[in-house]
Amino acid sequence: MALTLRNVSHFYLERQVLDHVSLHIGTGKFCCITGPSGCGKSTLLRLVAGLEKSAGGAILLDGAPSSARSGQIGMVFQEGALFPWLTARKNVSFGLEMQGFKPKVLADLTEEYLSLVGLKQFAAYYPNQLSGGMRQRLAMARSLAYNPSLVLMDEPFASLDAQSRNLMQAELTRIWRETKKTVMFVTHSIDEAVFLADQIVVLSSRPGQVKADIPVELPRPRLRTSPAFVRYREQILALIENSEVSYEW
Amino acid sequence: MLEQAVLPELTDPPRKKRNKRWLDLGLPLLSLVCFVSLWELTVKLKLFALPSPQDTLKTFLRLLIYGDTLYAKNLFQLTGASLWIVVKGCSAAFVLAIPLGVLVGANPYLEKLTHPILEIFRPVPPLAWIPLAYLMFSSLPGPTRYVQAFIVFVGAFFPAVVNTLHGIKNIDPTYIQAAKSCGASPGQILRRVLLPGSLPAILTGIRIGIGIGWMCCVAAEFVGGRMGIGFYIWDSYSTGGRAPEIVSGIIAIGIVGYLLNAGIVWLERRLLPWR
Ligand SMILES: Nc1ncnc2c1ncn2[C@@H]1O[C@H](COP(=O)(O)OP(=O)(O)OP(=O)(O)O)[C@@H](O)[C@H]1O
Ligand SMILES: [Mg+2]
Repeated sequence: MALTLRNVSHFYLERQVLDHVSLHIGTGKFCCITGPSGCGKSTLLRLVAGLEKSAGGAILLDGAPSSARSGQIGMVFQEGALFPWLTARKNVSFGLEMQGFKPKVLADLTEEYLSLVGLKQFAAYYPNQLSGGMRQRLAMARSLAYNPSLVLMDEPFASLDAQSRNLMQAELTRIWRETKKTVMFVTHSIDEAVFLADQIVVLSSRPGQVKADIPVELPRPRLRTSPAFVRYREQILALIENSEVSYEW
Repeated sequence: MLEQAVLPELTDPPRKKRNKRWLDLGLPLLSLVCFVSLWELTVKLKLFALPSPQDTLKTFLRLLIYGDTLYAKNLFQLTGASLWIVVKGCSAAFVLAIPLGVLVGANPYLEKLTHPILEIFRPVPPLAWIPLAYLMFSSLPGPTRYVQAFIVFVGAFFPAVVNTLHGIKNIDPTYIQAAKSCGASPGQILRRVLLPGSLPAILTGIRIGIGIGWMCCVAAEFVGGRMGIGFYIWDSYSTGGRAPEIVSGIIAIGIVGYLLNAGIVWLERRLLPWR
């Protein structure tokens, strides 16, 4: 599914958070959104997910206004937002239940996505019994299981240590290539963006405007030490150099 | 594979060491022994007009097994009569308070609307309602039973409302957004997010409500009626200061209160395995 934003603006009370944001993500493409803290990245995802209404502009899914879109969009939240009262298995099947899947299909899909993220043995565990990385994989499984064509991810790996983070990025690349979803992925890490994305959108500080929209043409699997990788990283870093916010990478 | 790399420790929680278990049993026992010794000491020193622990124990066992000949009731029947009132009062309180708490917690307008009423009546001690309750139920046959249940109702109602309300309000809004993003309807959000998410707080409200309801019941029985453990200890006083009977009644009240609380704690553990 292709996602098009046309001049999307948003306000909280009088304060403008997003200012005429336009971008296009082609079907099956992986797009990373980056920008200083508070520039409206999470807000942008909530708008696309339909959790809030934009003050102006259009959000188009495959060219059509995104109205009746239940089940087409999956979202992984900044804090994971797993339901602590449900086991890993029940968390994954939650979305399927909401979509009204038949019990048999539901059970099969749940097991399939639990294995996809490597949590089959932990199906009966509650989220607070899982490690940070496992929780993020579980959150991905929950939003992927009902097979949305567009997946929105809000800094899903921000709370992980560098090592599990790199593992999760590789894992996500694998899952993305297996499931062929369109992905909109918010991150603060330039390194992460260059590793994952087909396209990197840089937002300016609040109100968020599109500062740059850069295609990343690197073959996968990507090597962080390759000269081309480093060149992309420097290019994006230079773009946001003058912003006061320092970036971790 | 990946599992190995980010696997957390999966060992069971370390089993309690033997001496630790000893302490779990030994310390409470020690505190009981100390308490009884202190009691014995005050009796020996004639500090208060207290019955001795031995007399009390004898009376307690007699009341438990044979009952009090004056009333032809044993302790089970006496506390049972009070418990039955608590069951009635608390059931009515929770049936009303929990849905109300959910509604008010989920709707900011309703909260503003009900806030003054709740906040004015909440600090009123439930027992202050007794005189009015007798007036309210005076036309009914045997008003005392209604009055007592009503006082329990008032005592249990407010903790249940307030805890439920806060339980709903304190649910992380990202849970609601997560459910919405999965396509949940408002009804599904209520049943699958708001209710399970506030269940810990609701159970806390029930636990506190039952505790207060039990206290209110005993106190309400002082005022009227010829049933229940509260009536029994008050009457034992007014018929001539039967101290061992009074203390036995107090102990029975304490034990029942403890068991009620322990029952809800057990229920909490069963219903909230994720805690
Ligand atoms: N529900 C809300 N009500 C009012 N203001 C809000 C709300 N949510 C966000 N904001 C404001 O909107 C701005 C953008 O917030 P948003 O969460 O989208 O930023 P972000 O780019 O995701 O930041 P971060 O990188 O820190 O996650 C911030 O200034 C924030 O204070
Ligand atoms: Mg954010």
